[in-house]
Amino acid sequence: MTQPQPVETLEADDAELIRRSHDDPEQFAGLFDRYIQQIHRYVARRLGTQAADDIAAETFLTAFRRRASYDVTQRLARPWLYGIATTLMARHRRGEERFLRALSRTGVDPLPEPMADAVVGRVAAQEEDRRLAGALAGLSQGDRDVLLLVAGGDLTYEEVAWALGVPIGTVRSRLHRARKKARAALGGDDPTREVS
Amino acid sequence: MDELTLLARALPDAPPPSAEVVERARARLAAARQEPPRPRRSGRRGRLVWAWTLGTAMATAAVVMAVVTLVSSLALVPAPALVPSGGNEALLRLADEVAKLPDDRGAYWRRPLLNNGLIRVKAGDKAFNVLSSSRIDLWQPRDVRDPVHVEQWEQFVRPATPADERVWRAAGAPATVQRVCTPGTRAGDCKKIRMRSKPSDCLSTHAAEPGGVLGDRRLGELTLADISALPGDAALLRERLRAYWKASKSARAWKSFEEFLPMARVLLELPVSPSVRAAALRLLAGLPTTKVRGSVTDPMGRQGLAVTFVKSEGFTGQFGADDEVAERYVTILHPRTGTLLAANVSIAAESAEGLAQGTVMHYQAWAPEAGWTDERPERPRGCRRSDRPIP
Repeated sequence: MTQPQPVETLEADDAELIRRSHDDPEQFAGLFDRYIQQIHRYVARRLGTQAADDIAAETFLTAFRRRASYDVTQRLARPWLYGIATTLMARHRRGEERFLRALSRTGVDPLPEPMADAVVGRVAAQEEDRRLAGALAGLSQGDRDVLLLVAGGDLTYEEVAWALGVPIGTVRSRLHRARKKARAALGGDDPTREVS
Repeated sequence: MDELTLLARALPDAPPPSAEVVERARARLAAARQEPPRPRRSGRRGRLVWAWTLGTAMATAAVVMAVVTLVSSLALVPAPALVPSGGNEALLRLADEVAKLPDDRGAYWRRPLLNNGLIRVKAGDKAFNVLSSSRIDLWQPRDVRDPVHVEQWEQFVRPATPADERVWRAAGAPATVQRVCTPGTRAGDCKKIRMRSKPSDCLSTHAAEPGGVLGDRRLGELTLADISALPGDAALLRERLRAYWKASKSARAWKSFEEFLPMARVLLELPVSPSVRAAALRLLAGLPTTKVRGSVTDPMGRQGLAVTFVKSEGFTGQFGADDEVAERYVTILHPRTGTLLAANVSIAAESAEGLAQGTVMHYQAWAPEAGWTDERPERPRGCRRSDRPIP
C-alpha cells in the first residue's frame, strides 16, 4: 500500500493521472493509492467502518467510470472524490441519522467495531459531544454534507462547491444554518435534539 | 473553538481501513479497469484502440436512414421481458448451434456500434427525457497492410417517447434544452443540449495499425492471426487464457485466475471463428459468475439471450431527484450466432422521477450489418477526415 503523499512531491498531479488513464486505465490506480485512506476515513466517521469499506471502494469505481467528465484543469481530484463519496452516502441517509441519534442518546458508537479498532476509535462520551451529535442528526442532509466536508474533510468552500456541484453561496448559507444549530445545541436549547 | 469544528468533532474518529479492505477495494477497481469503457458524451479523444470498445457516434451514409428508423422506436421498446432461462444450459445449447456455423470470412470485419442513452432535460420548467444516439463504425481489414477504417457520427437527440415529445412541443419545441442537474453532477456538467434530428458531424480515419494489432486490447495485443490460432475446445481455451493471465501484468490485477476468467466474454466481441466462439460460450457457461437471464427483446427490437457475466450493478447520476438511481447491466447475445447484440445494457433497478423501474437507460448495440464483409469502406460525402485517431 502506497501511503498518501503530498501532491507537490509527486511526478504527476491528479489531473495528469486521470488524463493518462483515458489511454492507460492502469494509471487510475495511482489516484486510488493517494486517496483511499482519506475517503475511507471520511465515510467511516459518518457511517461506521462497515459501510465505509463498501462505499470507499464504490467511490473509486464510480470515479473511474466517470473519469471522462473530470475537469482536468482541476489539479487535485480530492474534492471530486469527496463529492462522489458524499453522493454515494446519500443512499444511507437514514442509517446516518440513526447512527447520530444513537450517539446523541448514549455517547457510544452504536456500530460495534472490532476490538482493535475500538481502541483507536474515540468515543464521544462527553455530554457536549452528545448534544452536538443530536444537532448533527437534526441537520438536513445537504447541510450536513457541507459541514462535514469543510470541518471533517478539510475542503475549502470553493472545493465543496465543486464537489457537490452547488454555488458557493449555497455552501455559505448551509454552513450558516449548521452554525446556528451548533450554537443552539451548546446553549442547551437545541430544538432539534431528540428527547430520549 | 469554532462551532463547525466542534460539530464535526462530535463524530467519533475512525480507524484506518485494514490492509484487507484496501486490497479488496483495489481488486474491485482493477476489475473495473478491464471493463469496456462507458460511452462518453463529452471530453477528450483517446487512441484508435478505443474505437473498439466505445464510441460517441458513427454510421455510414448508406445505413444512416435505416438506423434512424430503427432507433427512433427504441424508447418505445419496453424493458427486456425475461422468461425462465433453465440455468446456463441455454448457453451450452447456443454453443452447440454456433459450432455448426461455417467460418465465412470476408475482406473486412465490420463492427458498427451504437451508443444510445436517455438524458433528463428541461424545457421551460418542464422536465422530460431525450434519447441521445451516436455511432461508431469500424472496419478491420483481413490484410494487415490495409488501413483500418473508422467512422463516427452524432446521430440524433430527440424526445424519448411520444409523451416526452408532447412536453417538448408544449414548451415550443426549443432547439436546445437544459440538462437536469441531478445530485452528484457538477454544475459545470449540466449544460445545454442541442436537439438533433439528423445524423451529423461525421468524422473518419483511415490508417494502418502497425502489425495488424486489434484495437480491443482487453485480452492483450492480438492480431487476426493470433485469434485464428485459438483452440475451439473449452478446456484448451481455458488453458490459453491461463497462460495469458500468468504472463500479463494487467490480467494479474485479479487475485486469481478464476476471478479473471469471466473476461473470456471479450472473445464474443472479437472476430473469432464460430468454433472459438462456441468454446468461449461453453467456458463461460461453466463459470459461477455467469447467469443466463433468459430470452429478451433487445432495445433495437431483436430477439436475444440476456446474460450477466459478472455481478454488475451500479448507479447512474442521470436520473434521481434526491439521489442516484440503481441500475443493473446485462449483455444480450444473438440467439443463433452467439455474437453480441447489445452490451452494457443498463436497466433501472428502481423508479425515479421521469424513470420507471425496468426502463433501459443506456446501451451499446451492434447494428445488424456487423460481421464479415467484402464491401470496401468508403468515406461518405461530407464526412470530415481526421488525422487524429477516433474517438
